[in-house]
Amino acid sequence: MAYILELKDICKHFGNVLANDHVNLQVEKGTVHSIVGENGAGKTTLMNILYGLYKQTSGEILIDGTKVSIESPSDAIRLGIGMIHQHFKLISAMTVAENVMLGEEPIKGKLFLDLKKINDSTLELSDKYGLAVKPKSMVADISVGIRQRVEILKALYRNANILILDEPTALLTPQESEDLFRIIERLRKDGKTILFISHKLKEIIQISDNITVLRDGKVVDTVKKSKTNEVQLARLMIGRDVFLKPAPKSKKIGEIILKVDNLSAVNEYHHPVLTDISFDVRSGEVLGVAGVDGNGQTELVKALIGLQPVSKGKIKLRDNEITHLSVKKMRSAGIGVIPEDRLQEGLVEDFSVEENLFLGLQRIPPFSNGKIINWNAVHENADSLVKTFDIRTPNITHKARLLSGGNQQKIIVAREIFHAPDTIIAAQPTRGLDIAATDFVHEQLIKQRDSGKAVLLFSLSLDEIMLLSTRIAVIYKGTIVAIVNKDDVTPEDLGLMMLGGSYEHIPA
Amino acid sequence: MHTIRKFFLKRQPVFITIIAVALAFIVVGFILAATGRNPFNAVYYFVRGAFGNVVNTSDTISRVIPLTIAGIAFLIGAQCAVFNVGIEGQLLLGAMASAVVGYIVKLPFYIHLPLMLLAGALAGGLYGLVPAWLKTKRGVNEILSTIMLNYPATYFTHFLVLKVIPIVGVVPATPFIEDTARLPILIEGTQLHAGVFVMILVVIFAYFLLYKTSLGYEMRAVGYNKTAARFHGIPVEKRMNFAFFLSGAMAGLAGAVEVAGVHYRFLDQFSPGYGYDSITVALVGLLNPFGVIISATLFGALKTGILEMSVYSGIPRQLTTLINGIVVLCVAAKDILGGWYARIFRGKDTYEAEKEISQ
Ligand SMILES: Nc1ncnc2c1ncn2[C@@H]1O[C@H](COP(=O)(O)OP(=O)(O)OP(=O)(O)O)[C@@H](O)[C@H]1O
Ligand SMILES: [Mg+2]
Repeated sequence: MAYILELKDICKHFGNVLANDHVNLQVEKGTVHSIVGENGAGKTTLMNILYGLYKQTSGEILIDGTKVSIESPSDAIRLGIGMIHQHFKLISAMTVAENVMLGEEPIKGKLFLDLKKINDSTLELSDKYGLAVKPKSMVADISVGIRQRVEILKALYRNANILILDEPTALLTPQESEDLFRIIERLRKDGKTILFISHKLKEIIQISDNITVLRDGKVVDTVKKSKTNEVQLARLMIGRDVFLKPAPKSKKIGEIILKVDNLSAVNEYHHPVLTDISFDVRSGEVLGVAGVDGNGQTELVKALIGLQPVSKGKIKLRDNEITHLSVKKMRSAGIGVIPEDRLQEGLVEDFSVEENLFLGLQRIPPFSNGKIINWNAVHENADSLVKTFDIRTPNITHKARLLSGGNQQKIIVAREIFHAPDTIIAAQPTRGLDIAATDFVHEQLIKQRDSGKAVLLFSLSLDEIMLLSTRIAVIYKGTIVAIVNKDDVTPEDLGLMMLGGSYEHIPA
Repeated sequence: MHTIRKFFLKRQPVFITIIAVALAFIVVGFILAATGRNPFNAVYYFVRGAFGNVVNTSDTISRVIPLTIAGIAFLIGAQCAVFNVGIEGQLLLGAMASAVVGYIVKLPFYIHLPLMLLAGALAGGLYGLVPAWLKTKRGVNEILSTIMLNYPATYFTHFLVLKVIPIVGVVPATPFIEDTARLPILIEGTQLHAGVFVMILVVIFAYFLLYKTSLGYEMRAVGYNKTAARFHGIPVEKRMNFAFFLSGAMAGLAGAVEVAGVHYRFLDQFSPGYGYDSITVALVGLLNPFGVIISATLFGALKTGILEMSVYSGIPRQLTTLINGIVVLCVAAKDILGGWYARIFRGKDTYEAEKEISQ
């Protein structure tokens, strides 16, 4: 059998770190080949080698049976390899079509852009694979899911036969993911080969033909989809059985800690983004906020930490009103947050791991006396969190930028959970985490809950909401349409409510 | 081999800078050779001029002082996302304010000297608040505003010494400052003055502030990622305003030290562009307080060494500008050098990739 892509004995060192250790991989043409593995297993590194961003320390790459040397992304593109990064590289002030053509624009009369041709070919390509993008819309105005499709279009326009998708679903809602899978299916039928990375094993089983499991940079096994299941995959990845289990019931639900009353807010164009939001979170419970992405979750998180101006209503923490306080005051009043965008909001990438592990805590003991930093405390804190949360880093002075995506996420989660004040706002806390790390973070959140804290959980994954919540609030178009006990609803009910359906049949 | 490789990789930015500077000198050597001069001869006179004897070394150090303090001024801003290219103007205003405090009152030296230095710092700092206000309240890019604000400062001091303050000598200048406001000369017959201690204090202060205090940590967080800083309760605008002020204050202090240690008055056009050089000094020093001393030494030596070189080997003085320019070019081309460096020490590697991915 001839393989479209073959990797032979690929090794990659970063200083002392061996990110890929004699990786052998054989990919058949026209298949979806998934790569799974723990955080830091070396998946992204391997893909970056393939796309010419890194050069392997040793080993060979064969395309259609011939040995190739890939020195840069342009080599990769020439060889028919396209990569869709997690962080899109689109220019938001340009239209979809202009982005697709960027650098390869059709020219009319030697001088002018052939705008009609630009739009037509984009539309044609989009229709062919059912991508449903509008060539003339501005990138600034389109959703994350659509932006991703524009990236796919870009690769297709450059004649990619092998498409690399590195955690494409991490930022997508379940619905958007389903759309993406349909697109992948069409690409596959058309003879394209897909390399797919994800931590969501359900998806992996759903869309793959073959699955390669990496652990500590080595290939553990390559299995056929038909011969495996989620449980086995998790075992191969982690080395033991891991299941995500529903949290035990709240033990002791206490007094109200966070109370939000008729909160409203408008965006910079004066459009309402939050309307009359009311809820409370009690000590010892997790309130899950379920909703389709873009229904006000981001704004609500920001309002609760003082980053989104509030036009009406009140936020109370215990007995103190904190509505219009500065971020600093609101956070020191007792709100901790795991932001949804780890690179922009959660981390300072150029800070070291240890510096990141006390971000936001730089003025409180034990990290400082308010003025002078106690570096010993910083080292100790970092050592212990790195160990507890299994953050894979060569040392604590390593720059956060150089860690794998999931390990960066662990830094944020570790910091916020361990130093959590009264209330923890967790927005997509397990985004990009492997199954073991996800399970661990779930446990930790529940531990905080049981120690009497109030946890407000935002997640696009209904599974996660169902696993962790005591009660569930459904957010739709900037307002809370229902608050129900977890035991009284099914995911199907929630799904309906999230789309604005009625909830009358649900006992309150 | 592995350990050697690691040693060089870990210190990549440092070595690249050294290579860049060395490269600049090689280029200059070739230029000299091409114009029929002996580059080795030139090096000899250059080193002799900069460090050949006590007098020359002292001269060099007396130039290193303002370059370092002004370099620190730029560094403090840059570490907090403030690109203050208005250091020259702030330095001039600081020098003027300190000169005025130096000559209009007579106080015991332990009050007078600190007071005049403080006046300089304050004047520079307050002037630094102008672009701060423009930026945080009006959204004016500080690179533009600070560079423009150099002009009013220059002409204002010019105007003062020409029109307002009675001229005492032949050159436009303020009257001499009192003895009690002067930084003492450390070695008789040289220009080495006690400003050297001020310089050391400033460097230690910058290091301590940025790396040992919560405030400095917050400033650096703002410098790297404003969004994250904001999310974690750091008042971004306030920190940037402070950086503007402190950067200006350091610039003003550099001017005051020049007045107190070298000229003993505000002499029109006394600064050979220390404020502009400070940017290069800080960047070549890799925005590290101790790195700034080293790079200021290099640029200070450049100024004194060239003098002797031109006298004895007939090489035009204008060469400093050329060498300066070439050093800057080579340092600016560091990214290219970085690519080569990485190729040599680890095969083609993370250097480029890191950049790609981090976009
Ligand atoms: N540029 C780099 N410099 C140094 N080390 C790196 C670099 N890139 C990755 N590493 C290290 O290589 C290892 C593999 O990282 P990689 O990003 O490939 O993991 P991953 O499997 O994609 O993990 P995740 O699921 O968390 O995204 C990690 O230990 C990481 O810290
Ligand atoms: Mg990854």
